[in-house]
Amino acid sequence: MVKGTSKGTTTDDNGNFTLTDVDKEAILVISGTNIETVEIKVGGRTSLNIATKIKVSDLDAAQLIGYGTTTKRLKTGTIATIKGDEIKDRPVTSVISALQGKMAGVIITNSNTSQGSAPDILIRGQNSITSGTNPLIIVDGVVVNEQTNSLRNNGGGNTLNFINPADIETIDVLKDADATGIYGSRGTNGVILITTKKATLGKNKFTANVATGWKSPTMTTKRMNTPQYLQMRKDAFAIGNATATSAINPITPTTINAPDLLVYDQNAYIDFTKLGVQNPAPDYRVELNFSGGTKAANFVAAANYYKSYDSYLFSPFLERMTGRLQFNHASFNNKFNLHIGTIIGRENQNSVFNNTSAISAAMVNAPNFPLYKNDGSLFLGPGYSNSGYWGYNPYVNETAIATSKTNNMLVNTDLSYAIIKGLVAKLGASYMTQATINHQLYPSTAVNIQDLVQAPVPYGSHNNYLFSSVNIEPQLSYTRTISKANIAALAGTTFLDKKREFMGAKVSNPGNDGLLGSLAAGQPTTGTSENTQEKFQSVFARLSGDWDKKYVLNLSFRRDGSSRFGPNNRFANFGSIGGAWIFTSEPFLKNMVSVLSFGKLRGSYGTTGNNNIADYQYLGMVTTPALAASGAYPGYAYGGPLAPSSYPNADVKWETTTKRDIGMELGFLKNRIQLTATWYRSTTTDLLVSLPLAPQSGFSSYIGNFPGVVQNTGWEFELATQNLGANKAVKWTTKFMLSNNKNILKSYPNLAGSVYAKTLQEGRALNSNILFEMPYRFAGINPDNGLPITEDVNKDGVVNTNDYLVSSAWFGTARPTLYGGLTNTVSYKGFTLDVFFQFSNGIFSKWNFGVTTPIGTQANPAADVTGNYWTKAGDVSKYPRLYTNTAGVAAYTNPITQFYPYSTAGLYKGYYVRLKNLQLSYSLPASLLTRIKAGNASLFVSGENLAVYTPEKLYKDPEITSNPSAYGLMRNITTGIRIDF
Amino acid sequence: MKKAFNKIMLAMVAFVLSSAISSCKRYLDVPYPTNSISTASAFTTMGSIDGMMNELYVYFGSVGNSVGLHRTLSAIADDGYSPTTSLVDMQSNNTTPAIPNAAVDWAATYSNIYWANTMLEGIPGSTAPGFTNDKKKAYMAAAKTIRAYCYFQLVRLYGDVPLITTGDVPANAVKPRAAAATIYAAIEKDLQEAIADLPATLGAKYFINNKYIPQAVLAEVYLTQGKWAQAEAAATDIINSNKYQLMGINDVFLQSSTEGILVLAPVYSTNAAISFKVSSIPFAILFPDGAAASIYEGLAFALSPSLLNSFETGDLRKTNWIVLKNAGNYSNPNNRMFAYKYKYSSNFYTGTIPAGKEEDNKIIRLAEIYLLRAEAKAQQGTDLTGAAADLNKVRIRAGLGNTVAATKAALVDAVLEERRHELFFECGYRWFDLVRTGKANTVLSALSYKINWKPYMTLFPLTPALLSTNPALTQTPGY
Repeated sequence: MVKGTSKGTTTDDNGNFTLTDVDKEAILVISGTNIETVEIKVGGRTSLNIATKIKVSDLDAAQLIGYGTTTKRLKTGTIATIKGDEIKDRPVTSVISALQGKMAGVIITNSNTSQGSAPDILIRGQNSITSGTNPLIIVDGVVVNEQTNSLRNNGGGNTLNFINPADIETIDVLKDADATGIYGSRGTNGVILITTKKATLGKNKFTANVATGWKSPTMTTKRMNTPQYLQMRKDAFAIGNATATSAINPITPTTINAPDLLVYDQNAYIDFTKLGVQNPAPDYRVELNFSGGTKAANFVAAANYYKSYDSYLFSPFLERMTGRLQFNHASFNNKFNLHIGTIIGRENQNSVFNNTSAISAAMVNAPNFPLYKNDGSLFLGPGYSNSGYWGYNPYVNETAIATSKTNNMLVNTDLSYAIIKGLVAKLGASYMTQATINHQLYPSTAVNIQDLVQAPVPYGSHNNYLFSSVNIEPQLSYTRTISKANIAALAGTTFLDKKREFMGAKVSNPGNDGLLGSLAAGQPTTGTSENTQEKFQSVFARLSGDWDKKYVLNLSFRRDGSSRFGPNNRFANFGSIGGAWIFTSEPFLKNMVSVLSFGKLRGSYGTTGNNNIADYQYLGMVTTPALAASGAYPGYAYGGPLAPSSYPNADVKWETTTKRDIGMELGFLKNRIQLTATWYRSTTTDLLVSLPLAPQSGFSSYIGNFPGVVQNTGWEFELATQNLGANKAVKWTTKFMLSNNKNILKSYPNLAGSVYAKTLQEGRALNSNILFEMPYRFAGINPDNGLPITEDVNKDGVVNTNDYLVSSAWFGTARPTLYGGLTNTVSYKGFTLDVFFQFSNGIFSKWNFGVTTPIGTQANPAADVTGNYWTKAGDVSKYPRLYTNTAGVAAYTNPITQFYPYSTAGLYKGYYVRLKNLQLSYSLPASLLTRIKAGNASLFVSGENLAVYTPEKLYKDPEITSNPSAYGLMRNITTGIRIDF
Repeated sequence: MKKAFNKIMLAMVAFVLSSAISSCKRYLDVPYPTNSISTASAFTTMGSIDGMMNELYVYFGSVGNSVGLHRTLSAIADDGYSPTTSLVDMQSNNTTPAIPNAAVDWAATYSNIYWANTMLEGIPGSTAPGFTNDKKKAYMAAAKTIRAYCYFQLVRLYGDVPLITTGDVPANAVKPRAAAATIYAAIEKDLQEAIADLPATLGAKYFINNKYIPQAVLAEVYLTQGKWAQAEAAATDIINSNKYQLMGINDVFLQSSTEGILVLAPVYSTNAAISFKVSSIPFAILFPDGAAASIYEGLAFALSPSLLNSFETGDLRKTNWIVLKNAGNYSNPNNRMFAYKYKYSSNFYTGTIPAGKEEDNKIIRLAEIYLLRAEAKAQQGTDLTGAAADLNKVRIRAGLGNTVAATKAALVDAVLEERRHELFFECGYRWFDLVRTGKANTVLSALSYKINWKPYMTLFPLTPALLSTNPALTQTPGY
């Protein structure tokens, strides 16, 4: 084919072809069923010798696994893979966000919408009650997360933020025992392998990508306008409080309990939602990539810059610069290989201290709340408290600056040498470090009486975090073919040393706002330091082999030792067995091959562990209390108090998970249709929990292993189809994935006597925190007096705080049990359209009416409340009677003030379908490319979180579990251009 | 070929094994983090010993004398009233083991005891340079006083309680309740030893460093047990020392006051060193200018009408120690008078404290010792004049005339009433007075909102969690 024309031909049996009337500058496109497509410039030549590569079928492409590779055809484990190209133009802050709905069995949860916050990753359900659910994340062989709860990592950035989506070659998620067994005590929650792009060999290639996006919050709660709000307030005073004898007992508004009715301008209107969260939020992205070289020596040099503003008031922003260098070398005899890779980065976050809570408070201000006094100075409200919102002026926070700077560096080297044929010795070594420094400057201009949470004096708070890890992994691998058997063996050992350090200081009253950064000016208020170290050592081995690419067996073993565990349980053994049968390779199915081109049955069984506990749990220590804990006894000559740490447990060890997995992989019509179905069950025991201890001993609990059992069972389906023939001008592919997970607490002996008596229940899902926060069961509004009816859950004849403690207020999990995604890609000539829908059967989330205070108080609820509340006997209403925050008879006010705001009336669960991403890109035609001397150039428009459908009209995003005042996932529309030279 | 393969496999196995052996456990030994030490090491230097003593005071100040405990005790007695939901159940004596806070301060007080025990076990063997025998005695006397005070709280709240005197956590976790008499004996022993080991001169403020502090606690311990003669003797020891004076009505709670015997350090939120709060009394709230009072409703903890109406005319304590705050949403302002003994609350005070008006927390003060001795004398019946004289000291300071009570019974009642007016909202005195004098049932069952009052409620229940974590514990009788 001549690129950009309809002119073309086919070769003869020897690969010769002839084309006439071809432009001197034309580009020839050589393609075929068994060869890789190549493009070549004619460049005025009349005779060309074109070398092509045999096309590697998708099934035989390398598939990354722990400490090695296999092929998709021969893999025995369950691995979900996504190519970097699929996500490279997604306008996301963290690459993990781009995985949502793309991988079976992987749930990405956004607990809040603030940018820079790390999404929560959950692979195949929650296995642990308390000890972390994050998977092990490995970037180019370097473990980057190793979740810990002993040190405040909130200061430290999310390492994955430093991985630019466009730099990613593949992301592989390892799920079952076969795939994760080799990671032993760190494998339970799954493993994510992120591989960055390798160099393109040959002529140096330079790629530039520039994009800019525009974000806007979605699903903000529409609140009452001034007339609606004032009417509600008047109605509230008109009905007053109910008593035993009368449902209506008017209350007289006063300037103290109703400034919104009697003091503030009755015609003023401010849309506080708009003020708080609907500010311009652009983002910018520049990516440069330069690579080239030969097999003997090749390199990648990449740099990128990203800056993104949030839509919050005062436009907080996040800014990131990262660089990546990679060098590979192979000796002439190919025996010695060297790989060095580094990723360095810097992230700056600039925001207003305490901004989100101030904005949340301000969003429910009376819509006529004045921001300024007549003299032009700020009008300050009385602030906010847990018992109600009374008006908050967010402008006072403007000068309270919070900054965070993180430097991140990751270096990895691999040296390998082929000792004899098939036997390779390898040394992998990596170093990772991350340093973060945070400052919160709270100047006198930001000090305000509204702020009841922070000590209202000027202060500067400074925190410094440092994390580093060194990992050394010598390995030996051996491959061998004997007859029809292909055998591979691997053995290795790991030495890992991780250190975390933290220092923080807070200094109050420096005397001048210009000195807030000084540790010497003013009074030192807190000074805290922490440091922890973890050492980890293990040996691992794998033996795998196949017979005639038909029968595959894979055995892995790992023995882990960790300094996190007690001296009595320092080492643990883990192992797995996996097998596969490629039945389409059997002679009796040979004649089916035109229809069923590939068929494989696989299964695995094994154990993995979870070691996500704090360091030193086995050690009895006297320590300085952590940040924000008790200070020194005033007047004491000695600095800080020394307190006992938690009660030590010399037996503390990992959680053990047994995983079972059965899967079927099918390919139809020359693999144009590929279907994978997998069933799994994992059971976790030796649960790391807080065990109760009689408080008379001095301690109420300690960390230990408990013989409870958590079980996760689920199905995963992945379907990929090529809907139109490979040679059609229009190409259309579809990818569909569907996952289900059932998570239950299988058993927990004496649960009622444990610290989880209120939060867990046997036979129910683990993650039901929201229900715990909303424990009262709502059963409608009483038409006689407008009081909400909440059920007497414990059947003691009265609804009171005792019902709060009954854990039977249980409805379901706060995680989806059925979820998936559908991607359609259509391309025609230079145009490619990607449409990606993501869906879920829903989660329990708080949605209620926009406030947790009773409706009718000085807090602006959702506009939906307008006219839908009870006003007189006989009203059948959606919302209860109004309340003025004037105390009345407890029996008649508690249902409104105590029970209703924390009842199931404020819960929502419904399925949703989200148009997660829509992307249109256009590759410039060859003629144009030639003119600008570019190899490739494309323009794209990408829209993230464009629309969501859920059956009920909501005031918040059905995916966000908390914070009813915030907004839903940000919509982001980005346009960009990408050019290769 | 096969041989070569075997050799390689052998080499690999050897490699794995050698790694496993070389993985010697020593690699996994990590040192203590540099901000932590072992308990044994903590007793080797004066600095860390002081740090641990510091923590003992932090516990004592913030836990053993917590606002929460004192507020709860005021709520269940007849001097306080709060619509706050967390206390409503207790206040109306809907007290079941399952309600929140039912086991008030149980765990916190035992934590304090654990730490006192650890100190008492560690100090004698300490070889820290500079830790002289005299210093050891003084430190141990302070720890014993704190431990005794903690048990005094527990025995009055719960009756029989486990007696824990060591740091052996597993053994202590399964101990049953010991008889109240045993607990009292242990308290008296600790205090007597502390008195013997502490000097009669006053040291730096806010520390247990003179004998009058354990003596004052001991006086209360004797009084509670009806050991009148011993109570009188202990009180006399304090009074005759002339180290303490009754202050003017507005100066009692100031830092400059010399009325306090057991006094804990002040904590204001404007103070540089705050993180923990010592505030022994449910305080009046000083509302910032322009703020609606109602936002502090959660803390607005008012005087009960019965207390308010019981003051005699002209009582300076009613005019100076009580304040009406405009808590706008309460229908009857008379029911919403707040204790105003301490003027600058630790939680919400936002301004600057005027010079000379700084306060600290008086746990035991001289006025109480006078009233204590008055009661002890009256009960013995031998020195009714002396009893009246002690009582009148307090009455005259409050702007009242001499007591008209002249008989033993009348004086005993007059002292009790005086204690109510003098000590309201302080450290649960009213509650403990009602319980020890046996008047709790009569007084409390007469209150309209105490609908569920039962005589056994003079002691607190244990929560189901406490009973399940230690099967040897029995529920408080009645519950």
